Amino acid sequence: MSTAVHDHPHGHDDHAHHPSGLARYLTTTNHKDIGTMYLWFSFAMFLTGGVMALVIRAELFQPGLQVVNPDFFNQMTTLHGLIMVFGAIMPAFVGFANWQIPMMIGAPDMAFPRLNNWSFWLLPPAALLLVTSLFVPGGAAAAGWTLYPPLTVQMGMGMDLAIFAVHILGMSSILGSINIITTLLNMRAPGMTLMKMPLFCWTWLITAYLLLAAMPVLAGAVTMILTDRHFGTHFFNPAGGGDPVLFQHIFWFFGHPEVYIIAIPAFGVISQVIPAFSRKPLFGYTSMVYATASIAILSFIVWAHHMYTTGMPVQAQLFFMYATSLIAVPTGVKVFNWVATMWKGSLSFETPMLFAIGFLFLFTIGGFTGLVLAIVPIDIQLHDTYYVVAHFHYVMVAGALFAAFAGVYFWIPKWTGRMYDETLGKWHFWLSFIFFNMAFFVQHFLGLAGMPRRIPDYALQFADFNMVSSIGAFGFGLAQLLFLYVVVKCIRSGEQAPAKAWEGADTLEWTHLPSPAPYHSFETPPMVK
Amino acid sequence: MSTGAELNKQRARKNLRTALVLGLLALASLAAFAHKVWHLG
Repeated sequence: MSTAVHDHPHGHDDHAHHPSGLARYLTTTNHKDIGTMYLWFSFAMFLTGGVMALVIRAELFQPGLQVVNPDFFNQMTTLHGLIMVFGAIMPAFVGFANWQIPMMIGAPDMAFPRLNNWSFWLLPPAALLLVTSLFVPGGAAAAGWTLYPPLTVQMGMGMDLAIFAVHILGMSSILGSINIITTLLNMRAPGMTLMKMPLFCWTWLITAYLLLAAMPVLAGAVTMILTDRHFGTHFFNPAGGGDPVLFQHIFWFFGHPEVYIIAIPAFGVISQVIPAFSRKPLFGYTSMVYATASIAILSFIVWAHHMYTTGMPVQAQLFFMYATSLIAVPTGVKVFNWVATMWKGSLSFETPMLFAIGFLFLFTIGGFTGLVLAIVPIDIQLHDTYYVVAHFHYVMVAGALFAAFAGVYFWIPKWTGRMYDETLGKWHFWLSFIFFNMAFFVQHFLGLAGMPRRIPDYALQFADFNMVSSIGAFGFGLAQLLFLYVVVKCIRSGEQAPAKAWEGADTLEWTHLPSPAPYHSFETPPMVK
Repeated sequence: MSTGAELNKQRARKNLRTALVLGLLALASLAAFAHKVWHLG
């Protein structure tokens, strides 16, 4: 095979020939521009969904109704969930994929650069639909992010906007997945076999297949709600022979893989950060690949653990309980390998590593509470309580979001050519870590004591823990403004970053490219040994 | 020996084939879902 796939003899083009201003970002097909747009979009959505979370926590600061009316409270819980899952976390990891995958495999860009542009620009209209649905008659969708009928069949036009937004977001994800898989399968530099790819690339290859399989199911489910609402079908209406539980089966057939669509790229980021700051190769690379693939496959056969209380046969409950417990095995392999990578490593604790270790502790707690909830008799007690809310925020925030922060701090020297302020980065970590636990650890106790989720008022005995949780949530929110400051300060006035900003980093973007990475990189692919 | 432009063209064709297969995979997922729901109905 030829080592050159481009007519230009020179390696890296440092001269960026591209339009400037708005036109650059509207028309760009460059993976780095698009990655940047994904990351900023996701941060904007993170702040939007975060404000909604703070409305929820302000209302729950004290028992009684003080800040918002119950219907608006429900709209907040719904939009917070939809925006954080589809607008913040998923696009954040697609942003990482866009920036990192071509550089990590030695490709000049994604396989379909124009499709890449389209995948991104589908997102802002979808976000606009979700946010503006607050202002239509009847307000936004208010049935929870899971969109369960019969509520979703009965609501006002805000629900139609949410359905349309989900369609658009799903389309963006499917197109993005096709692009990522094609890039990883066809665009790798000579010598880079699949089993030599950095683990971040592997996690995205597996995630993209999950997206391809799961997203059409979500699109189908919300389309059925749409036809129930406007076209006379009765998929979910018992009066017409339908069944609302059918929706739950369909939704969670998408919804549980969705959890791993979020978590697996986070595993990928952590698998790059921990070896770099342990100055050792990742322990058990092959077992990490197989464990990730096992988690992905198992994620399709555990969906009904979200629905133990719907009255399914005990045999089905047993199957889903055991299948769910089985996921702990490959997940345990991963946690073991991360710890083993650190074992006898030459560790240092810069901000990316702090977030990675924070991830390791807190995600493991989230995993264990997941195992608790997998057990049928316990779940029947804890279903729809704050224990569940605590569990999935340990997975989504301390898991996915902490991994995203680790990734930003890890790669920002490569993206911007500048170092961030290490002291402020560490402040960001410790404030996030402390306030996160303050906000969510106490919710385990609230759930165990029986406080239901998605209710704007509560009994007096829950008051103290709710007050602690709300203070933690506001502190966590403020800590994220510090993150914004750190990033802006880094971009504007950070110290010059060397090509290899981290001693232990050994993937292609660190070993073959300067910092900042040039606008066009690897036009001539490197040879990988 | 192939020129860079020819190699790029070959790679583009290969990418397109991969994308078509993946698109079919997404469609198959939708079809399997529709088939299941139809029979549940």
